[in-house]
Amino acid sequence: MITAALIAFPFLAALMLFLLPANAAKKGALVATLIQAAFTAYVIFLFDINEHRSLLSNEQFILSENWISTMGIRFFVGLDGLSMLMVILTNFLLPLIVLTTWNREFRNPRLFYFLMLMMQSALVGVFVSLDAFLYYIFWELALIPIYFIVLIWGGENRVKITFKFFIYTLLGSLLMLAAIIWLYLQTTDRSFGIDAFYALRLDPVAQRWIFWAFFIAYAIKIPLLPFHSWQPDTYTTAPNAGSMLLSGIMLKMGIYSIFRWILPITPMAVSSYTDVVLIMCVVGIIYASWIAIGQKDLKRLFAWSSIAHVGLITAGIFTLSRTGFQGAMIQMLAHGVNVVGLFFVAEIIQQRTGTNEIAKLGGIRQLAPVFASCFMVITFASVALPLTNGFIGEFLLLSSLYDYSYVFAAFAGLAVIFGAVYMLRAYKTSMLGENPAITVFADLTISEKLVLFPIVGLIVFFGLFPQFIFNLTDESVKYLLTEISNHMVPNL
Amino acid sequence: MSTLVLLSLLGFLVLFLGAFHQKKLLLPVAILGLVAAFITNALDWGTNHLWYNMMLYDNYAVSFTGLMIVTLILILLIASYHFRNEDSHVADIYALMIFVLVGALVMTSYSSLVMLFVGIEILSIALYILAGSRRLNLASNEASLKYFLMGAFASGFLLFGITLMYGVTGSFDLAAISDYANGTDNLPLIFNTGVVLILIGFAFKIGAVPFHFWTPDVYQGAPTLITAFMATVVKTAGIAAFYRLFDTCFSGIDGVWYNILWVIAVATILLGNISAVMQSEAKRMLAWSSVAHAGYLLLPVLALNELSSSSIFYYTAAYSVASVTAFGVLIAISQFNNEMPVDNYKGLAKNNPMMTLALVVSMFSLAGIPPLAGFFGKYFVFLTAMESNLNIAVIIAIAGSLIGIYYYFRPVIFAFNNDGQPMERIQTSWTFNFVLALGVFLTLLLGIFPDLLANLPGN
Repeated sequence: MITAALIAFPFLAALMLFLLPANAAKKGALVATLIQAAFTAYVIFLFDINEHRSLLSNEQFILSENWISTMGIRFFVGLDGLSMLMVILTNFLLPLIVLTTWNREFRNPRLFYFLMLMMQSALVGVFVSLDAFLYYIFWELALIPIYFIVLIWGGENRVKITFKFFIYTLLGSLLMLAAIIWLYLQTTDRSFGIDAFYALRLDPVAQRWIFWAFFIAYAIKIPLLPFHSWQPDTYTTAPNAGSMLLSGIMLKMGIYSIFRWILPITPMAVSSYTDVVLIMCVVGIIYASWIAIGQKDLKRLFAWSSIAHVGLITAGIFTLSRTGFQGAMIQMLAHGVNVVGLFFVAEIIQQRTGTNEIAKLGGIRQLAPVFASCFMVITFASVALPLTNGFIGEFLLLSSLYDYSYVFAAFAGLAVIFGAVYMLRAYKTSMLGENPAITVFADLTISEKLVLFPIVGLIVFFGLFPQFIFNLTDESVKYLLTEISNHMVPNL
Repeated sequence: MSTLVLLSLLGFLVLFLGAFHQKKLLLPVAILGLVAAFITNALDWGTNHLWYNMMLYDNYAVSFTGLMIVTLILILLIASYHFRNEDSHVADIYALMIFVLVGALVMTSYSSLVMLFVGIEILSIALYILAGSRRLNLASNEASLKYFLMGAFASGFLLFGITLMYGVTGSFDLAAISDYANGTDNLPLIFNTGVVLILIGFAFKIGAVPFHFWTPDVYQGAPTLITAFMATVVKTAGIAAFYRLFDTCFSGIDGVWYNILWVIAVATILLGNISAVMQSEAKRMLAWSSVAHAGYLLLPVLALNELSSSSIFYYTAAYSVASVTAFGVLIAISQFNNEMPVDNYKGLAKNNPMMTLALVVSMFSLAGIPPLAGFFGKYFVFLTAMESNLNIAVIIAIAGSLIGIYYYFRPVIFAFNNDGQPMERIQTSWTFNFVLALGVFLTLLLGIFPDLLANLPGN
């Protein structure tokens, strides 16, 4: 019931927004997301890391109701450590994202916040679904609100860009749908349940087909090279809140889904394609970092750096090791927090100076020291300096890559250095030095502090005490590893 | 049978009301009659009446008839808005629509090829007139003539096919043909030819490639409301009749027609979608999109398994509701113009929230976006096809739906486009608003609880 409530609450709140007057929509959305966050905190409190049932290690709060009984489709949801992590990420970031829009007036605000809350509902749905059909519905449902957010409130060229984005992601989704239908037809009792899918022992050839059908969908969403071409444009043209939703949470749908759906169902294909995927990731990391160095626009730079980061996360997963998995889990959370911070920094600069072009900025540190310090911490976190949350994850990911093959580790490590180059240079040029063109730059307002201070706090906190995440996801990681090794041999 | 009689009488009643200038009574009488027909139809559920070896009123027929009656009710409610300024011959149009429904009913319940032919003719002749119902409009006349010529051809093919089948099996009865087809090892060439000719006749009627050429011109030339009617009720009847024949007679036989039908289905999906992309005319675009939908509907016919009838029924239901809604919005915006560029949707969102919602929901449903009914329909069709190992056809169909996104999204994008003057608030009648609201509601309801219809028509 609790899990269903986590999905239903934002949805109902979204509908309630239409009862409010237009100028109260923002407040309504903030209250709703805060309640949802408090509710999530309560669920964390209830969640028992060590509880073991038959299903997926420590899966809890399971709800299984018949939905479309003629087709074996159930409303089947639950929370394990992995889902919990994603739900925490979603529900704690959303109030912050709503707060980032506090100083902005949107045309038709009710619709804007309605779409945002709908998105939250769909995202939580993706992360807790244990029925493949239900999962697919939520997966697609998450796409609609963000499409409209970018289409209606986006910047230049939004029609073309959103279109490309939509077609791209839908292509992946439909391939995945075909794979899901095929898997359903293979199950013995005609079920979409995750347990039935995990129980399948497919032959290696079938696994390869299924692997690619799923993987392309996720590679587009994450995005990995060469499926990334929608991403920089979309992130740049989207309103900042949209970019945050996309990069902070939505791309994690892809990474999460690799854990949840690809690894246990097609382990043989995964292990036979590890090198292919790793090469994709590593090439993507280096390429994206290289492009990022040349970017003139802050938002575009963050977009490209995001491609590099998620490439590293995916590479870590495909080493199929405990360190890689743990690193990916931590880094998903860290990247979500950091990228929201970065896009908010870009938003503040845009609002104050009217531009995001790095070369036109400078000297802001003297005018707005608090803001500059916050930006500095976030920059450090995204270049993975020790004591920030980025460090732990990146360290684990690189070490897992090193265990797999030092060649990959060396190239991926290079990207970390690149990352330091472009991030620190962007920071230096935009914040330090002198710039006669910028004479006024107000420091943070209260609502901005309410966003940036928690982000800085989280960065430092998880940099110092990452154990909480390890504890939360440890059971899931162990379970995944045993499940994969059990499935390596097909029952013939 | 009572439904058939009731509907025929209703048609005459409406015609006479028109003759005696009882304009105010037209709509209430027609709607009441249709509701009564729906009820008598529902009462036939599970009875499986076989009427003189001519019509078998089984659950399949009941389900499809019910769907078509509901669709016609929705269309008539829009019609009162569409024809609000026209004095002449509204009664004729209503009556002809009801006569089309009579033909459609026969087409879904025939158990003899003779009845199939009679049904198709009742339906077609009324439709020829309807397509030309705007007498002073050149395009409407052209549509009518084109439709008539093409329809006559199709009927010729069909009749020739039926004749050949009769020559081989010695019977018009579906059961007898089925016995013959299942009991003969090597079907004679003449039998196969007959099947292929019938198939061509059906392909003409539902507008499948390469027999689709009439569709865009006729759909565009006919009054918009009639187009909506043709795209929903007539298409439903055509595909229901098509599947009924193949299911009863040829299930379990690996005939020569299999490959032909495969090619027709795949080509229809691809060509329909690709051509729709190239249209700048809203109505023509919907016409091509209906060609594409005919292609999706052919997949379950091809699959011919125990899920087929349910998936066809569900798909046509989802498609009919979304189409009526989409055409309703089109009627309101185009205001009697037969030509309407897609850009005319521009700025709709600002002053017409309800209509925008209807547009978004219907277009998304046609495009197959979850959780709307259209998505589940597509899913159901794909599932049915994959059950019979039509994996490649499904992949092509997926590519087709991807292309479909392009043109279904264009009106929506235009609606939210705020450059320039936003569109004025469009005055509508309450019946019209009711249809839009109901369309949105049903599309969401069927998408979220597909179980409501997914079991129909049952076995």
